[in-house]
Amino acid sequence: MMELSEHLFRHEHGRMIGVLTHLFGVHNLALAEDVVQDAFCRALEVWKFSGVPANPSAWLMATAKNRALDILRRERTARNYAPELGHLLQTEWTLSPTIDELFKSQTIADDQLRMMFTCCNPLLPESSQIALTLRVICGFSVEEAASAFLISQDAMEKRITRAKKVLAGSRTLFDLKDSDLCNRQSAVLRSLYLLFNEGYHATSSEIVVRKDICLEAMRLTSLLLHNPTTSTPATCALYALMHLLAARIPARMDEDGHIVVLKSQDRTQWSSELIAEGKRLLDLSAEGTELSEYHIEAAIAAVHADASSAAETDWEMIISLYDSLMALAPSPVIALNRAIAVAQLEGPLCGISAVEEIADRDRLLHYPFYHAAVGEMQLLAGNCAIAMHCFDEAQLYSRNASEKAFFKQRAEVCRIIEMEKSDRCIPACQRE
Amino acid sequence: MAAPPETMEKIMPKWMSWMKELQDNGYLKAGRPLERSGKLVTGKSRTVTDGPHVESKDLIGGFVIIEANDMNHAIEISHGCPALDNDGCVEIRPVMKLDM
Amino acid sequence: MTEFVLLFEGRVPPGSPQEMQKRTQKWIHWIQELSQKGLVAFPGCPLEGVMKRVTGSKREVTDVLFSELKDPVCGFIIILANDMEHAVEISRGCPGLDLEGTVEVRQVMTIH
Repeated sequence: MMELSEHLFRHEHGRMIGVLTHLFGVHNLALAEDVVQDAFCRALEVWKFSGVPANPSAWLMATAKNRALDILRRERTARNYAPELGHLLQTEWTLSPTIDELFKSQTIADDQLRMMFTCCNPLLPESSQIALTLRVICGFSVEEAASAFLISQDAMEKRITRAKKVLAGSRTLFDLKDSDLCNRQSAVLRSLYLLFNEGYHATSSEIVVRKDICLEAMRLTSLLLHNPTTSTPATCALYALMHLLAARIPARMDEDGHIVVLKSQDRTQWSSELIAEGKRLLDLSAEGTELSEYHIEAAIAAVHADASSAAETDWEMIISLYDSLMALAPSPVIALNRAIAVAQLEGPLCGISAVEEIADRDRLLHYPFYHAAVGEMQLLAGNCAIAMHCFDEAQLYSRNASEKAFFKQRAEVCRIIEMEKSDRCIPACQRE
Repeated sequence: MAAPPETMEKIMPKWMSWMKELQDNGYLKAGRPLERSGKLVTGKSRTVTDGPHVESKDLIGGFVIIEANDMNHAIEISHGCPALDNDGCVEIRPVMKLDM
Repeated sequence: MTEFVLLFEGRVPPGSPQEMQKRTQKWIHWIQELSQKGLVAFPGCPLEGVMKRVTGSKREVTDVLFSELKDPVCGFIIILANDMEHAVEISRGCPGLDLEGTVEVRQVMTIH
């Protein structure tokens, strides 16, 4: 065999890290990372000559296991390993069977989930949780993670180092039988959704690495669905939502790398397979009584997916879904999205009043799409000068070059319309 | 393995008999004597230079791949190497297993 | 055609899983290509990062600290080439060079 399946190493990284951290303890994460790096180096040295083995995942895992055994035999007392395994690692009698048990495929899969839950420690800010997930579970280098998050390598390095320190305090992996599972799982889902969004709002220059992030977020979510404990309706709904959003990726950017907003997207470019799968998952997520924000967001995405254009969208349905979402998890961003739907259904002036009614509206002042949304409404209402000002504000808060270029172009449109209006005025004035 | 060149011809029979011994014991998998001069291709730029230097003490004069039980066994087998009698040395490295 | 030994020298710098996979894939393709052209005389051998040295008539055995070697040999292969120039040309394709490694090209001595 010659070809490695795409991202094989990245996927195996998370599996190996999980089980090795279980074995060594969370405080020895660096040691686990060394063992994984060692396994990859060995694979490089051997596979270069032998070709890819029949089961490369098993090969890597066996290599990591052997290396772990070497370390434990050599430094049995030198470090404190996993507290719950401690005494089992002390003698050769118990060492081998303990490790054999740990490297069984079900334990490996569970440990990877437990590591994900460990990374979403509530002591960490969400930005650190997702950075850690990307680094520790998906094996992104600091450089790769920094370019995905559009921050400097230095800042990413600091964020990850600090987060690892906090993590080390917990020593053992999060237990899926823990009474706090429910809360921790919502943190995990939120992190995965944030991770997905990091990738989803890609700009042309870093589209490749960031599309990878969407795929990683989806893969990790699917791992949760494979375990009966974590396969909840909310998880399924989040997975559905990711499918429905990912379906739009091909249409979100034009050939020149400019953002194309939802209402102007060429919907024939949307992936019909992802939409179909998203809807199937959404149906599946409706089994049970739980209604999460992901259910509603996925339902909204499904309404968009069903419409052949912005004009033919069932805006009434979307507004009522946003109302449910506001009741469940109120936030100014959701209220803004609701106001945009109101503008679509009842006209820009109604949209503007809906915006003005948003509670905590000041929390949106640094959000560029707030200014842009108001700008679009004002433009439609014929208030070009106000609209232009809004797009200028949006530019001020834009987070990347692609966003900035888009808002600049919208401001330009306002300026042209405004000029045409005053041009039309000139002959009138001359008539005076 | 390294051996000073001037004695190469004198010790040739010794080498032949050691090789035969390795073969008869079923240890020998492969072996090659190397010409003393060579080329080094280095780095991204693919810079080509003459080397390694002939006067270098650690110049690799050749190699054999043997099958041994473990490192100690391999060391024991290496004791028969004729290069050692001329103040040469043998470096022993395990070959990585190709299958798990 | 004459046999040449290519000694691959230099350590593999650490890299992300994605990077390591890329490197591995490049190597596999290169070796496969040599093999398909019928240029491999003896399959490649990867070497462990462990070394013992036996020296002189006294058979003195010493441990070599592998981590302290500057550009250790990590593996080798025996290829077939028309002459040294050809062997050097083939070596230029080695993916290890992209990571600032070295290929030492040595002709196998033929017994006259």
